[in-house]
Amino acid sequence: MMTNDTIGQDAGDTLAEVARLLRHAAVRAWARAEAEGPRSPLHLQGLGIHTAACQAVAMLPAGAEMEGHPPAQDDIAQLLRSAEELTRAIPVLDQTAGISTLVVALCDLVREATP
Amino acid sequence: MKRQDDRSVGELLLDADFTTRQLLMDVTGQDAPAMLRTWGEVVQSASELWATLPQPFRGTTSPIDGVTIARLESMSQLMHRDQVRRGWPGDGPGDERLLHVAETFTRAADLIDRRGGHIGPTDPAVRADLDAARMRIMHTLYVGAHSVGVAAGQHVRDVELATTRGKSDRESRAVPRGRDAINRLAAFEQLAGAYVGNQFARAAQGEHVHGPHGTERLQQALIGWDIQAHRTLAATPTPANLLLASRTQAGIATAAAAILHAGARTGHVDPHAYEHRLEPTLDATQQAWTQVATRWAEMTSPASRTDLDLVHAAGEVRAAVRESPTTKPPGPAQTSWPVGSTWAKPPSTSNRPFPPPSTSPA
Repeated sequence: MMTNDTIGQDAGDTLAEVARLLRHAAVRAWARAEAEGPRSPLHLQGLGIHTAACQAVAMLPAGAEMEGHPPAQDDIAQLLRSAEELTRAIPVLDQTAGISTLVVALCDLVREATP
Repeated sequence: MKRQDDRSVGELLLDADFTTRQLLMDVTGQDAPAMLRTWGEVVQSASELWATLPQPFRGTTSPIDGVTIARLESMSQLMHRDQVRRGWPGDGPGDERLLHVAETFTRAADLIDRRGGHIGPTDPAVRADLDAARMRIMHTLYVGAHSVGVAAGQHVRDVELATTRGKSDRESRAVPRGRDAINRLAAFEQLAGAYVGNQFARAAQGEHVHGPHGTERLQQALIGWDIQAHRTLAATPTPANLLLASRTQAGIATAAAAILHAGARTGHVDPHAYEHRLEPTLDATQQAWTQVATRWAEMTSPASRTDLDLVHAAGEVRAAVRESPTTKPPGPAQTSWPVGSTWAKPPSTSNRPFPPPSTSPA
């Protein structure tokens, strides 16, 4: 599995928080999808959020600290916006290669989640 | 009186980046004509800014640096010339947000011209700052190109849906023009993305530049998914990979039900067969995959890693589903579909993606 052992501490910590928010958002989306039924579009929204979370985790070094308090908010769009805002503090460098695709994925997800 | 702009080059670059992000979050198909008119200006100002950055000494940076921005500018100029020649999307207002990005780049270039002439890129810290600036510029172009592509794609779909009943010759000609612009933007996005993603070698070989659209994209995405899922699960059948595989299969079942539902409504699928055989089977399949995914999720931890090739294949399936030809929701059961809906007809190639130009082509 891909890992990134050159990312800086601050960027890594921020990215780990982004991944936590996304994991939580995906869980929320899937929970709502299951309540709505097998044809709910939220199944695919959850999939998109989950793949973004996988991208974020892949950019972290092996053994990165991923545990932590679950986010207080449950609103999916707000969770996505929070994740995108966090990425603004991450520099765009060789050491953070992949951040641009993650940013685009997050912005796409925010747009899709906004009524 | 206009307030003086005291921001540094770094702050200006962040402003440009964040503006394109906000644009991507808010963009709609209606924005496409204005964005297409303005995009060339953004690329030109980015290129001029790039040229004002102190040049690295020989051997201190990658040879791709100057080549990439030059290729991007060339692609943008070709696109602009094509728009002028074809009179599409025609004259009209520009996009204010993209104009702001272009002006911000220009402001940064002015600042460097006036104050940065003495900078010598021999100091490692200065070189690092310059590298960071180039990366930020390229990242902004990458996000911006994606925004314009999203707007153009949505606009094409909107017009296709609006004009399925009566299509003029002019509208028929306009769709390929829209598709051409989308393809050019995709190539642009890929090249800029390769720079910020450090994958120049792959992009330079011309791998996957012009993607398919509509049902063809969906077909290829499903084939790609099938192959990748087998590869990944044969090599690394971890709970994290199995979770993603199960969730993607559930998503495919959800999408299949929506497509067949639309097909049943429009007479492409036998409604009786859909209602009594296909629908119950697909729903049961979807629920089974969801149940399996829930079990695999219990065996993963927050730090579990998923095979990135599998992630990309799943992402492509989802993107292809979202891009599929759509119609208005047929009823309350479908009203919650994003992008407005369910699928009803095969993709048309004879619709009109953009309004007629207000003047004749130059």
